[in-house]
Amino acid sequence: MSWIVVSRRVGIPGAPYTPKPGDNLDALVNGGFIRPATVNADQPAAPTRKVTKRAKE
Amino acid sequence: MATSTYLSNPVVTVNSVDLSDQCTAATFTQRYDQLENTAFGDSSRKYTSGLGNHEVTLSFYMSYASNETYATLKDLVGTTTTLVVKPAVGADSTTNPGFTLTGAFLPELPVVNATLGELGTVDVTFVGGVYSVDVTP
Repeated sequence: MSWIVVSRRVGIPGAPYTPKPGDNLDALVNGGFIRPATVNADQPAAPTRKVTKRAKE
Repeated sequence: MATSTYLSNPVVTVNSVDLSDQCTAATFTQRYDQLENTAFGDSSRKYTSGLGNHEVTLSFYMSYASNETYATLKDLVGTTTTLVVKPAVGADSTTNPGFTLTGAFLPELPVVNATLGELGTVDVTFVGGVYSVDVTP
């Protein structure tokens, strides 16, 4: 899992964030300081929207 | 002169978040449990070092804005993190050591400490963890 800096308090916004030993990553994410760099590959794809045709009036 | 004057230079990071501009005081105490090993034949008490029992106390202005004091500390209560306190900005060195506590526990956070007409402040104390000093630039 890789991370991106969001807040100036932890680095340059947009730059990759390298966790330091002992970092509490959950607290950094919940506090809005960093965010995941990529979507987890294990995450299921978004459900496709079912399109239904309207009957012509 | 063997003195240190702290004006605006010290650096305080909590969980890698630089909170220097919200911090007004920092006390980093390196401590070991004191175990007595005095025995028969000794004429004075003797002690030896036990487990490390280090502590960091920080005073912050309380801000509930995004990326500020509350956002940094709220999810650390009851968990462990890493703290770094340096006497001055700039690279770590022998004259600017990075005092580090890795795996320090935050047992409590005063979420409101309000007094009419004054800026809100909170004192937080991190306990335990492994003490180290980084002098490598």
